[in-house]
Amino acid sequence: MSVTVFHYVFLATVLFSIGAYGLLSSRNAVRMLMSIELMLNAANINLVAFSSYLGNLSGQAFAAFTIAIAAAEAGVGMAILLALYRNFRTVNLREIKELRW
Amino acid sequence: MLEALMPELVIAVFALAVIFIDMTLREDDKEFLGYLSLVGVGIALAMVFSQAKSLLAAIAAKQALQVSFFSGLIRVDLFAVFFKLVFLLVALLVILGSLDATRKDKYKGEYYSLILFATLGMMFAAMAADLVLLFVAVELASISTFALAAFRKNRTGTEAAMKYFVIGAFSSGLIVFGMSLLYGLTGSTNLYAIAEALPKTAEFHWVLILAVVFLIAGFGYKVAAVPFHMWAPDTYQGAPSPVSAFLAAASKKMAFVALLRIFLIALSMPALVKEWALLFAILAAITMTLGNVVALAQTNIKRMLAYSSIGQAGYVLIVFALLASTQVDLNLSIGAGLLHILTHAIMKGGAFLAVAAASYYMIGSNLEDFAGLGRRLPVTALTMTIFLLSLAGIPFFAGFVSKFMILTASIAAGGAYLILGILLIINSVVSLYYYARVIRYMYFAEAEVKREREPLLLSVALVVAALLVIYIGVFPDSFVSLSLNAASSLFS
Repeated sequence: MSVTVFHYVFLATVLFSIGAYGLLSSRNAVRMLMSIELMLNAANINLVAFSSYLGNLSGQAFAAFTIAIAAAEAGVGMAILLALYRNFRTVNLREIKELRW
Repeated sequence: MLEALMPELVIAVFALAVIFIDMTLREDDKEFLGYLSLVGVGIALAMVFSQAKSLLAAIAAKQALQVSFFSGLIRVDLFAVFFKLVFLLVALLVILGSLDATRKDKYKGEYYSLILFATLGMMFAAMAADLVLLFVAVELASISTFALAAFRKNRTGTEAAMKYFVIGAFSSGLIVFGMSLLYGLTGSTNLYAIAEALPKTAEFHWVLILAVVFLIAGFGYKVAAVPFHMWAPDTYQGAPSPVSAFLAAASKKMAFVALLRIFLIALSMPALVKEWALLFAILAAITMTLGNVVALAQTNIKRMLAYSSIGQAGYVLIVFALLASTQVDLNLSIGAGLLHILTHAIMKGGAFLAVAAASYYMIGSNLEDFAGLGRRLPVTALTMTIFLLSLAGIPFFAGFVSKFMILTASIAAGGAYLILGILLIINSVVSLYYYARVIRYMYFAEAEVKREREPLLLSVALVVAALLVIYIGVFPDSFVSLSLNAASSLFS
């Protein structure tokens, strides 16, 4: 059995679902950051797989941009996380509720 | 080619200049950075204004309507210029207000350069004709605003920023996954090429539907449409007021640009329009109803403005729903949406800046804190009244014109789309109640207050925004024709 584009897309879908589930189910901010990375990387697998299947390069260029953006996003996310931790002494979003009515 | 990109170049240069000059200044001298960014935005605004003028002249003479370059990556048409005007106008007002509102804060250099970078991202998003550039531009603006929301590093600010970040990053994941599916189906990232290739993908229609759902959900988070709205009240309440103004008035409008470009150009296959227009109709109906009804229960003004902003986003979403109608007037519908985006940007930005003016005197943002504001800060209270009346859609204010245009478009679309127009009217009536409550507190509540000197620059920003609201309300013709022309330039 050879590996076709469908296998890659299937892998990406599974990875994306794991990321989305992790983000929605956990309340630990660090774990949420990790889940976000999974979701973005799932899209990257998709892009690269499609790019090689279609034989044009714009998908790979898109993936390169997505990787850079994911890094920037993680950087800002970590900075916000640190500021949050200094204020609340926890990274569990369930215990952080200044903004409720 | 380069002339068309000059405004962006100016903003980029000033953003970098602000962050570099910041390193050489002492803490007391950092006011200067605010004035520097004000100059940058002013120059860019003047340039975009002349772009708009020459494009309008070209349309009147029936010449070429747009420039596109970098092999179709960027497309400068009147639609893009219209949005650039909105973003730069909001950035100008926010920076003007911030000069007073963030006077006591540290990290001014970072603050102003982040605002400029966010504006730059929004301007590129308005011109993007390619999924890659669109995604990068949207992320540039989003990541800058994540940091802006946390810039005071206090408890509410960081909590607001964390919620905004998690939801924002989740929505980016959804958007980029949807885009990857779209690329896989059509083999291109150019919006116009995707539109051409879509009819040949009938075999994988379900993948296309999946991509549409991912894109609607992803951008739905960014515009805070109802099932995806929970971050907005928390973020707008917790972030510093000028940043809330920027988020509600500019950042949200950028998501509308992206939605309009993707759905009206790339996904405009008639068979597909029927499917996504239904989704948008449902979203619009629940967004405006829930936004306005929940706003009734709010006692914090920033939170109430956030819910009202959710409701107002629902009004713009009506426009997408109308496109499936057989008798739709395409220019009228999209033009109505564009005009509402412009007027809402001014009035909601102004309203948040008024809250910022109040908090300059340590006045909180709860409803009781605003008691007697009419005597304490007369200019702030008067302009706030104008913004609130305009948001409610009272005639002779800008909000009335754009709401009326959306209503006209929904009547023109006829049939079941009339329901959306009726919902718009009902919701406007409901919204009048909670806007009027703020006005009643400001002018008729008993309070022991004395008149204070209002912050000058913040008052200037408020008065400019208020005058614009009244001007658009009294002389709407040129703005209506501008938005109609901008709508038609999307397709030519």
